[in-house]
Amino acid sequence: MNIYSAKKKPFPIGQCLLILVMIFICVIWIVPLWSMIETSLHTDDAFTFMGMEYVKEPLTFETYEKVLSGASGQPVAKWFMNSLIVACLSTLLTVLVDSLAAYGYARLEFKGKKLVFSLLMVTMMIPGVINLIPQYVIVSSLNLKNTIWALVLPGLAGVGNIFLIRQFMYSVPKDLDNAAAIDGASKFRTYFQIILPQIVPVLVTVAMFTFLGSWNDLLWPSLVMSDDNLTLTAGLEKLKGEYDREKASIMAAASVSAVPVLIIYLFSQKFLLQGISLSSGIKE
Amino acid sequence: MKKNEKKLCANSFPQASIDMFSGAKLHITQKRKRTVVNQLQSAVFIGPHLVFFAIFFLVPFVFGIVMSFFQWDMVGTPVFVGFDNFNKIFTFVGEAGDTYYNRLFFEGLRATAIYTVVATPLIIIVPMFFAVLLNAIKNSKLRSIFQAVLYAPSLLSVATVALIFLWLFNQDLGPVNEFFNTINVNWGVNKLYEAGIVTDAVPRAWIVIFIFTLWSGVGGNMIIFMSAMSNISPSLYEAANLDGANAWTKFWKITLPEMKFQLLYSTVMGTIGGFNVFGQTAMYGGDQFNTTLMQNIRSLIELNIAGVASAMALLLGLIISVFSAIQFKMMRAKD
Repeated sequence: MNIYSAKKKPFPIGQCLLILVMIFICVIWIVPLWSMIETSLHTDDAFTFMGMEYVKEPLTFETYEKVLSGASGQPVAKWFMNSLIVACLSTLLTVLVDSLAAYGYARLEFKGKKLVFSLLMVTMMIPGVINLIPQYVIVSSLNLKNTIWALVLPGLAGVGNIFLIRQFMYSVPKDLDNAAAIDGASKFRTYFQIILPQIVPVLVTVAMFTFLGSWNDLLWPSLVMSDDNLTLTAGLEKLKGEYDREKASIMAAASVSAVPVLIIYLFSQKFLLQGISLSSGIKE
Repeated sequence: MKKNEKKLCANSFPQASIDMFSGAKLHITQKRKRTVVNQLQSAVFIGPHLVFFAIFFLVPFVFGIVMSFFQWDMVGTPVFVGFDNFNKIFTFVGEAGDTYYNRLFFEGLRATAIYTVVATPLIIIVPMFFAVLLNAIKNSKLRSIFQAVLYAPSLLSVATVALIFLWLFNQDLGPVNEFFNTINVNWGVNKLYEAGIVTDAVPRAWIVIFIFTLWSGVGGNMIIFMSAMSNISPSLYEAANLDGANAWTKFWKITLPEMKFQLLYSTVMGTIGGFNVFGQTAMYGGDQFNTTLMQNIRSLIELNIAGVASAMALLLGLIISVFSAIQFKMMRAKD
């Protein structure tokens, strides 16, 4: 018998302890989510009487029906649709506009490129709060207030994603472009057919963060949209005042806002986690 | 020969002229070949973004600074008032109207500062702790499950998170107080409040706000720290092992110094985020103790007091730009 295989592996007590600690922490982290969903599966009546223990009834989707049909007095379904449309539209347009620009700065040569690009870079230092009020005035004067464009268009002014995509484009070999140019492909074909397929990972990352950012934005929609035409996130702020009466309804609305995001997360964890590392500049 | 051909075709690639021998000559040809068509073509690529950038960033930036020197109700004609808006903000004693803006700014700033000073270290130290624990787990499957669970709340909106915790810490029926009632321990946040440990000077809302800031904020930094830790060369630890260093020493002498960049990054980003705090307190506050500056600026916009609101935004922006300047420098170094 080999001397190494004979050596008995010590019981990894440290690892077991560590895993137990992590399980404990994770349970604490899950409890709020679980509580949200559990509460939403009751009816509002279960929480009506202060101080009394509430009757445990069988779980039901009644509250979701109530909330989404607008029976609780707030157009939650409308808010949800608004959120969905705005988030999808923002994502599509951001990916298109920013990848076009990134291609311009990474691969094309034109007068004033350095100047424009440095200008863009410097503006990244400007805190958004300074632009908030003028943006509000501009959106009002363009008659965009209370339309979805008020939520979509200002986001397209962002610069950060262009940097991210441009950085990623540098990792695509120049030879590919050159080969396409020899074959007589125009710059647009090169961009669409050669470059875009190569940078899908960064595009997915940008898309996900744009979607999340748009879906979760609270301040801007609350300023430019009227109460019956909000996004879901901003709408939740209107709901919180009704806590005394409708605890289950509010948790149902919160779930409606959380679940789509969590589902996306389940399917695209890799891209999200990679995106965090990308934007913090760890991976080159 | 073939190489040269390629370069002539690819006249729009500046990097192609880096070649030491033909660089200078090619550069001249490039310049000659650069046509109007080329410029137009570039415009189609960078144009759309620049249009939006001009309308929603450049113009607002200039406009925002100018507006803070005007009195304006967003409807009528703006009136130039010089530094009057700033005077109103900085006047400590005076007419009722003056002290109103003074209070809005400084109490808002105080709440903003409290949030920043507590939340920023909180969402660096705890994620660091989690990252160390997770990196020590050998089973990679388990590790990624734990990581996924701890990151999940980071995806939710502030509004959702605050609603969940409004419910959890609800005074009458909330599960947290319920739990502490059943095990008969005087420990829920309301209990702390009743026991006088938490007083009005430290509104209990702050405690819950920090709890859910932590819950929904550990994820991002944890991921950043974990990937930074896995990039540290194992040879450093091996050398330390030879010297007989214990885990504690290794963490302070190797892990932390090797993560300088990420630590600075998360501190700067956390501080910027902290000064922009709005949703946390808007959803879970409501009293003067924790109404932040961003909330007050929003209220002024809703009251159409554009001038003073712009002045406040400019002042807050100046504070933030100190930190974004650091962030900018870091990005520059990486670029």
